[in-house]
Amino acid sequence: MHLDHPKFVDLLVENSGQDREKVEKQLAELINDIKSALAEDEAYEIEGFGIFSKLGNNVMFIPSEGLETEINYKYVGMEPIEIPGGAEEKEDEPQTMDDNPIAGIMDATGDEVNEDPFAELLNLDDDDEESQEEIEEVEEAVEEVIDSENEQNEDPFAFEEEDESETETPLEEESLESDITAALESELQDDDEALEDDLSSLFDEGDETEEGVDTLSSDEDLLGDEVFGADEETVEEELVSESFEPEEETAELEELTSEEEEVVASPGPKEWGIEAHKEEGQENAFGGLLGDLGDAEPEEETTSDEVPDEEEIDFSALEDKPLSEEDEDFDDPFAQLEDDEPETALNDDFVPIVTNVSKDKAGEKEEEKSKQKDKKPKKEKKTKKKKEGSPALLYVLLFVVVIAGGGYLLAYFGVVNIDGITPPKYKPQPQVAQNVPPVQQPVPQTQVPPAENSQSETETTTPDTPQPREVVPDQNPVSPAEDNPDTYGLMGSLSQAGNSGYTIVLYSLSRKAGADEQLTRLRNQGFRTMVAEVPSSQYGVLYRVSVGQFESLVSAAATVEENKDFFKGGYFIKKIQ
Amino acid sequence: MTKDFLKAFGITIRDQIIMKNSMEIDGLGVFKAEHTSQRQEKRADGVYIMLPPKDSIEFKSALED
Repeated sequence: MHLDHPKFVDLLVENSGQDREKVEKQLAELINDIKSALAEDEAYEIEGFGIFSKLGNNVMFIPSEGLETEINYKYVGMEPIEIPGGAEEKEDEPQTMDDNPIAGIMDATGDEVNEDPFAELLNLDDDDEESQEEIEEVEEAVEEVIDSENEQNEDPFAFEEEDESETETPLEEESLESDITAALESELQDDDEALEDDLSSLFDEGDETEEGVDTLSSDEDLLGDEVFGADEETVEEELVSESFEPEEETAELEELTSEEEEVVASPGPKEWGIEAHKEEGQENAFGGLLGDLGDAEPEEETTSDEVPDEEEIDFSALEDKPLSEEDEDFDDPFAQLEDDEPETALNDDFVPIVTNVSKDKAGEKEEEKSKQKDKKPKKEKKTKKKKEGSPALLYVLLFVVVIAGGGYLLAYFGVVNIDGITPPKYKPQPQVAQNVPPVQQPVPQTQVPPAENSQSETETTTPDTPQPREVVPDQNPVSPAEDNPDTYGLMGSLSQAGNSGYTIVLYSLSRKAGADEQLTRLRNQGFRTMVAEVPSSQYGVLYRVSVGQFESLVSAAATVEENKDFFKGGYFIKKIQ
Repeated sequence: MTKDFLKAFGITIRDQIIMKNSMEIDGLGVFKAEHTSQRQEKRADGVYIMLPPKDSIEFKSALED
């Protein structure tokens, strides 16, 4: 909302409580003062409001601190706050990205639990990279091997199938494969017994050949057998013998025939396939070819007795070098690759570096964290010790304070006498038995000066009860009061012997002049009057004006009863000291 | 021009500024409330700071040549 000048003046009138004319006049005066000050390039300050100043042609208003505070009252308590995760984190990010991502990750994770997995992951990543490189190399090698195998396959077919013009086509072509497999199939179907005899003559163990023949029903199983047979050859060289090779080769041929039973049924030579497969290169070729086919379902073989052994071999291979299933399928080429490019070389090139880095960093961090852990318990112990020590000190201090306070209170109330704390009024004083027979002193003829009596008096707090008094040694024991009737009494003059008795206090005055005035007045009336100075903690010194000397409290009280009108203004009976 | 008048002058402007009102005083200028909402700032050392909101007085003078 915008307030124009008249509205502002109205508010000003309301706030100032002055007349409108006065307000307008003062406002105009104020504006003129400001203008004149600014015209002289001077600032004009209104106390508690702000400063009008001129900078060039611009007129500025600088509010005072009080005005700014009042305007921002609703934001009180809101102060600038540092935002976590600002520039500091941004500074850290490039370090992690540029220097070493592993270090960044490792630094980002403070827990030990997370470090090892990261290290493992990093190792796995490195392994994956290596494995990818290896796979690429292996694939290249496999391609080369396949080509060579094709060539080798072609050769035997070419030699032994001179009559057939189609023999030199690659195995991948179904027409050629169908011819070959048809020939093999015809051989196997017609001359199983002959084949078994041949195989038995070739192999010492005839069961395996039977198994290989039995596996003709499923192509995939046979493929798997060949694959794993190849694995056996590559991994366990001791177990592999040349006698196995033809066996597996026959199995492979049988598989091919089983695959292509329906396609072609052309007869072929009986022995060329077996003889051809006796060559090692051809064996590898089938392994490579069937390895590609066996990638689909290499694990489904269940028939042969060698399966457990093969599995054990596979696991051992996996333990040595974690590779994917594809790598296992390419084990035949690997056998060559292992000879040409041993994996240890790859591992020497890459694995140790990365693993060493991760291990070193992980080890260093573990050591650091173990140290930190060692330090932390110490700190905790220290803090615990501190925490444990502080209550004991507090208890000791509290105990001392309580003892001191209790002692002070005991001394203050007079239970224990400590100089400087115990008030003089509470100093223990030897009490005099009430039934002590009054001693009679020689009665002086002259009045005893009040000062003498006052020196022996002490302050009393309760007027109705007698207070303990100091023993006044009676150096001159005299006869009892009965013998000398002037010793005690209300009227007359003071007797020295009567100072061991009681008196009736009428006034306690703070001014000595007033006490003397009352003393004079009472003496003029014929009373035995005395003034005693009594120290008072509240008033300093009090001057007690008392009348009479009585042998006992009872006699004093009886005297009061007899003269009620005189004592109606207030009194108390006190032993003379 | 008394102290009471000057005090009332300041109080009047202050109250209206708190109520987000603007005032025009003939011959002097316009007082106007200005609000600055909370904001982030980057300090010289790179640390980001959240500044609280703030109200201030904007004065537009009528005395300028």
